[in-house]
Amino acid sequence: MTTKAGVGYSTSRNPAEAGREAARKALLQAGIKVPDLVLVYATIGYDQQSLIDAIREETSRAPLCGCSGEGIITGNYINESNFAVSVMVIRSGQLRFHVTHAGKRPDSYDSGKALAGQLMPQIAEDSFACFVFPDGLAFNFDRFKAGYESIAVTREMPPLFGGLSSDNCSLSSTYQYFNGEVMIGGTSCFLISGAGSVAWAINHGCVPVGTRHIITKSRSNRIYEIDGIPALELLSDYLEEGWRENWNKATLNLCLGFSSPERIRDDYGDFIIRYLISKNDRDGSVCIQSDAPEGAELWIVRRDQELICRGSELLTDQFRQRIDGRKPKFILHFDCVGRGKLVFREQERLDLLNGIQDRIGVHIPWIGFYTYGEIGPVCGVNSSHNFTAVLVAVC
Amino acid sequence: MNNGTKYENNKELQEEVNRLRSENEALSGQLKRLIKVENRLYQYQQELDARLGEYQKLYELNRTFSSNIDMDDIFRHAIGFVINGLEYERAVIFKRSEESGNYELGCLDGYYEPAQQRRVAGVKIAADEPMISLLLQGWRDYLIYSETEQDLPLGGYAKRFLMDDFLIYPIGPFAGTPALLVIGNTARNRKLYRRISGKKGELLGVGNLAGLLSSTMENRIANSQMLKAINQERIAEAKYHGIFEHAVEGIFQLDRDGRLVSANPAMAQLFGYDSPEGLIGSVTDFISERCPDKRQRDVLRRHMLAADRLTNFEVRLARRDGSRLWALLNARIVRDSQGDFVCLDGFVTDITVRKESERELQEAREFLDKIINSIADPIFVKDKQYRWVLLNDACCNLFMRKRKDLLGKTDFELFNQAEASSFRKSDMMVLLSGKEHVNEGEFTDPAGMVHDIITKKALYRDSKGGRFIVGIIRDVTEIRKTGEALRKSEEMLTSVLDNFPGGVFWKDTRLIYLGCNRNFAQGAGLAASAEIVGRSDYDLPWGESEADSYRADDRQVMESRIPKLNIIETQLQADGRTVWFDTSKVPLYDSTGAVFGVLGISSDITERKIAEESLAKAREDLVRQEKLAILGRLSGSVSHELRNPLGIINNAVYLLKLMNPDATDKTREYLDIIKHEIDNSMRIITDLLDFARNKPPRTSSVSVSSLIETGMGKWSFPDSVQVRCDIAEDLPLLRINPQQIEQVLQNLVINAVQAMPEGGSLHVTAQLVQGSGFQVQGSDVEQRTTNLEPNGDFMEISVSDTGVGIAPEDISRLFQPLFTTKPKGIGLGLVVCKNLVEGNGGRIEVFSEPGKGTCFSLLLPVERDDD
Repeated sequence: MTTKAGVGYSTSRNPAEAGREAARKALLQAGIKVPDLVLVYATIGYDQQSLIDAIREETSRAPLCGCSGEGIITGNYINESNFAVSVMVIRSGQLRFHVTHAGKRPDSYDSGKALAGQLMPQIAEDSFACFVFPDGLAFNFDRFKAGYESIAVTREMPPLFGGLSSDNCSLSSTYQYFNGEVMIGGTSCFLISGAGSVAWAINHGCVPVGTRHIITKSRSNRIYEIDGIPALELLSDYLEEGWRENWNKATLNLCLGFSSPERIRDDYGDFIIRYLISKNDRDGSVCIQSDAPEGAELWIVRRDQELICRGSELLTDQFRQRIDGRKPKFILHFDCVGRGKLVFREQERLDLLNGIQDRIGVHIPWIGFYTYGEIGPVCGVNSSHNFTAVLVAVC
Repeated sequence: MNNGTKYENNKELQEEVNRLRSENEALSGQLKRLIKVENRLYQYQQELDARLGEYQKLYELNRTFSSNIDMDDIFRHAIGFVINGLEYERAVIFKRSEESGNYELGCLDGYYEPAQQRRVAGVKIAADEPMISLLLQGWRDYLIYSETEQDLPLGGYAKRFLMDDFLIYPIGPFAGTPALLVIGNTARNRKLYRRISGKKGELLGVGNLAGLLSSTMENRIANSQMLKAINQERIAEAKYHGIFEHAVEGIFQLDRDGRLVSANPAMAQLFGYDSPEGLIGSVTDFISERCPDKRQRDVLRRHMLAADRLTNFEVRLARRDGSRLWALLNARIVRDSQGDFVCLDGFVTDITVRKESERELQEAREFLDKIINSIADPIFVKDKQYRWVLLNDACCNLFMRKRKDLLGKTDFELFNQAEASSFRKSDMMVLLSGKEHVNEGEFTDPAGMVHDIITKKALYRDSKGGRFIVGIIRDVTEIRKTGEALRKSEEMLTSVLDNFPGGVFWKDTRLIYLGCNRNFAQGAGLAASAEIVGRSDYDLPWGESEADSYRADDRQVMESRIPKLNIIETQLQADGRTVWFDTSKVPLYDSTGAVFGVLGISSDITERKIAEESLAKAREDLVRQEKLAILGRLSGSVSHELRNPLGIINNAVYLLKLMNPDATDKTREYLDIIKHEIDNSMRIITDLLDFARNKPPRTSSVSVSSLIETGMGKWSFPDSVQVRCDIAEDLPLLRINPQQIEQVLQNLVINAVQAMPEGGSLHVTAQLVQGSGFQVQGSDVEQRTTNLEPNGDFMEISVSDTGVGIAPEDISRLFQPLFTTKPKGIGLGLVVCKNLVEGNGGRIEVFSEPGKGTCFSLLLPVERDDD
């Protein structure tokens, strides 16, 4: 049996109706009744549990994985409102799927370790990809990776892909879906094994502004001082009035760029971009989604529309090259919140997406969401990204 | 490089550095501004996109509204736009109810729980609620309630709408405000939706919607009214066209030359044409060609010359085939300013059928008059003013006046005061009561002759509620005269019948008495002969069996038509006597020969019957006395001759028993039988001797208790019989022959035991019966003691059993000699008892009921002080 996949979406305000509609459309497109895996990405306006219950009911309670996003992405369609849900259903005789989660753990290291522990019994020789969807408001990828890889010293773990769940910049709660459960502060995950493979490409679109800066005081992923002055004070020069109250929106155009390691520079570019996920007004510190050691060099970077557009073309070329003539069974697309409606107008976003999909294949089942952080390996190293687009094809 | 050069170089370098720094700072500042501007740009972009999206949706909504005429559908699209386009959480439209004037749910969105939907569906907003009044009276464009804007007390509505922040907009034209739009959010989801704010920019979207909805609604209302007006115009046009086309009446127009200008299908049909065009084309001068009656033509033309309208003109018209029709013509004559004829608009109704009906009605009326006049009895009708309004010929003849002289007159104008008053009184009773009334009276005709009349009057109400007195008069003057003669004849007949010595009666075929004479009535206890009319024999004093017998004879006579003569029968009279009648019955025939009853004549033959019975009894007594005399003579000698041998046999049996103590059971049984039969024979002989003996007894004073106790000690009773004696204390002594009375008691006890072969109870009592004092309880005491010595005291000794009893027909013969019901009796025992008791100055009585038992009572004289 081949792999059948289908995608459906709904923008109905009624959570139950939206869940049923999206699931029904996905099943219809796939031509199946009972899927092996259900992927769900939804925005946060819905009563999440009602939404997931309706999807579960419609998909025969098949294994379900996913998370909330700032918007949904499917074939020729983007929606970044508070009420949009997309569902992909997959049934395959070639692939196996295992759905699990890491539980709710404050420390990302523990989450990574717990997840690896959950996955370990299921990982086989033919396991080729692991997709994770952590809480975008409380995540440190470096800690997570360390935990994940700490338990797998004896065997090679499949590469990590995914995106951080988001909440339409309300910075209150993001949600992770595991079967019928809706979690906050957790990490949902699915593992793919079997006769298949993955191909992926990653691209960002930021340019540095001004001169190099050095972190002079930090702890883990929290930066207290840059160039000897409080981080917030330094950054405030770039921010408009009211930034304290609207931090999430004010900083979407302003990120930190760190020099990328020499080994990935050719593939990835000169900078690893880090989004400022939170601030502390009392001590003037800011947080990013990976460790920020003292002494590290950084640049203030801004998004560049032209670069993003050019990057999309590069991304597509790179992706097609890596697919290498194989026919993708389905594609997962993790795009940064900062590359959506915050930067582009609606038609521009759609044009951008259509440009990618036209070049890769318009009929390939395509699902994705706007994230608070993207995950995809670079040069064999599991990595997290900001302001990037990560395309993953399962072939 | 020298120091100067070096210095200069350093200086230049320094300047260059400073310049670069300055530029760098300037560039840095520009970059910072650029980032800020970019950020602002992005925000503007988002707002612009949102606004454009909103306008796009509003545009689409407007198109939807434009292509939709259903306001409910428009409302649904509107609240869909609120949710999906304006991105509020909830929206409701309340429509004003035409019945209650309140605002009630039209449609809603954003409520996803059924319970929430039900709750909001139940919300009713009164138009006179203070806050709502502000909107409806135009004091406010909208009402707002949010966490920051609460200038009006709208909190109560939040609970009703299930919203924590909300806006209320009036929708539709100001007058009436047919709907309210309510949009809002819950506090829990406030962040996810567009916030409720009174700021101008924030209200733009919802304001646009409210305006669009209102204008759509106004347009719909205007369109609706316009469509309604157009429709009404069309309907009116169609109605008038329909009236013209489908009217039953002919509608036409004539021009000044008398030509038909227009005509409807009914007009064409009236004149025998298939279409109006056919009629119009065939007529050049309507009046000349279609109105055959010259007089009517002239009337029509005069009207056309001078009048403005022609009303209800009945005219004969000619059809296409020459046949005539009657028509009712109504027309309006149109004239110009000079008063010249312009045209005639007319309506023609075919009244041929009506005219035919009128003719038939006239004929019917004439026919009715003839019938009424052919009735020999006078018939009249008066109105409620008591005036004569209708009379037949007979009535006119009776009153000897012409009809015209009677019609419209009252009785007081025709008859004398007394007669008229009598008639008026009768009329008033009918009018007031509504009931039929018959009165007898008289009136004096113009010739002075007095007529006896009977008038029967009734009330008639016509369909309009008018009241009339309808009467029929019977002149009974001659009948009265004849009746008088008849009455005298009847009196004679009655006198004859009443003086007839026997009873005379006659009945109808149902055996109901039609009459009787006085004798018969007296026997029946009736005060007058007439009282028997309507009664049957069962209603009269005679017994039921007697009545059955009479009626059977009656039926036989009527069915057979053969008289039944000399029926000898009894009849219980009202005074309690039973009278013997010799009755003869004959059938009664009417003039057609049919039997209509039975006539009976009966003669009282009671005295004759008593004489016959006395004679028969005397004969019987004579024969019996003769027999008894012979029996007495024989019994004396025969009894002595038999008693001795029986005594010898009795002794022999006794000796055999004594000598053979070991005799077999069989032998002993046979000896017992012999002994028993000897005892029976001895008793018979004793009875014969006692019967023959006719000497007065030798009496002595005897105690009742000792008499009974002595007897009870001698007599034997089977085990199956229970014996009880109840003898009162302190009873006086009897003055009797004790041997004889003991013999009597023995006989009675033996009879009682024999009457109870299956066993039972035997009860012997003794009590004092005081002859004059009536001190013994019981209603029959007086009667029972009257045959004994007057005022004497008696002892009553009773022997009662619970045996088979005695048949009633045997009771009277019990004490006759030689009568017996026993197979081995000779019928002398009770005769002897009676003789002995009566010989002792007493009497014997018997009371018996078959199946229950028998009681023999002896009434014996007690010893008196002078004994």
